[in-house]
Amino acid sequence: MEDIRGPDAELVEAVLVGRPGAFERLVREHQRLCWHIIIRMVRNPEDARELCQDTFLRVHRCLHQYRFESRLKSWIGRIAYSIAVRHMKRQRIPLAGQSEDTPSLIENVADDFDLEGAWADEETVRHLHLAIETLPPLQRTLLTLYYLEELSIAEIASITGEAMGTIKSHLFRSRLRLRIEIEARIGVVP
Amino acid sequence: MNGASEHEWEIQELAWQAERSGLDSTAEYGQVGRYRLIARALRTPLVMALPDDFARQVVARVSASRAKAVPTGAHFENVLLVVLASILVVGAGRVFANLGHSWIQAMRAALSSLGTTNIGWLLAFLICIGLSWILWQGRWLRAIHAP
Repeated sequence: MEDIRGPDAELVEAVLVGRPGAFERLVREHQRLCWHIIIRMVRNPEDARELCQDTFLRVHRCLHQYRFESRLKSWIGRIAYSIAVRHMKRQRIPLAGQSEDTPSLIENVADDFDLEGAWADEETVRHLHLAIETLPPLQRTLLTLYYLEELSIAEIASITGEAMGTIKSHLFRSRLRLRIEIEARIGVVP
Repeated sequence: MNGASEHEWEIQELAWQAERSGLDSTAEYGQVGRYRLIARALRTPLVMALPDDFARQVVARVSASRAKAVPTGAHFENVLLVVLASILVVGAGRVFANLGHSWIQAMRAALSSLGTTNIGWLLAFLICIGLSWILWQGRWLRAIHAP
């Protein structure tokens, strides 16, 4: 395994020796990622806040086991993801959509698209956000990690434990599904 | 992925790169434009966020759980100490019950063989040990109550 120390090493050492403020800094640096993973999975803000706290409690308890084999960010993300998945299983909520939900590829039409006009249309944007919310939890989370956290597919694979091909497939199908939603709403001008 | 899917994937990625780089979006080619709209929506920060003092809350919870863990550990140690001490006392009692009679007889014989002078020295030795123990206890108590 590759040893990725870099700037993480100093922070990890500081937390392990109990330097004042070090753990608070670690939480501040990674709470956004943790929140994005968990809120996209569980959706309920109160549950998500509680699970974020559980994540960092576990990080604090297990930090001595971190071996710098992946970035600290990925290691913490993996803990957040596993805590969210355990919560979902307990609540009996399916993580990914059924395979029959896969949209069939639609024909591409060569047209012009007024991106700024569509973005300015509040109804269209609201419709798009609703469509994102209706995606299955796993797909929602993968899109958020890819677009909002700007993680690579390899980093997302490290967090979720899914194969890179599976993540690519989820991203592809989710984006295609959203494109179909948009076209159903605003239409396509051939 | 088949050829058509590969092409669609490339359009999705192209749109993502264009949106990420902030490229000119006027008169965008249809598919790229629609995927850029999706990318823009997905890049919008979430409305809900963790509270500003979240990190401090977590640190407080860690400190609280640590404080709670110490008495639990101490309690376990105390219970273990009592159990082991009880086993020791019961064991010692049984040994004394079995062998005590012969020990007492042996001690009596030893004492009767000592003269009065020797008994005096033995008493002086025991008093020395007692005084040393009392002084050592006093020093230890001062040490633990020191600021």
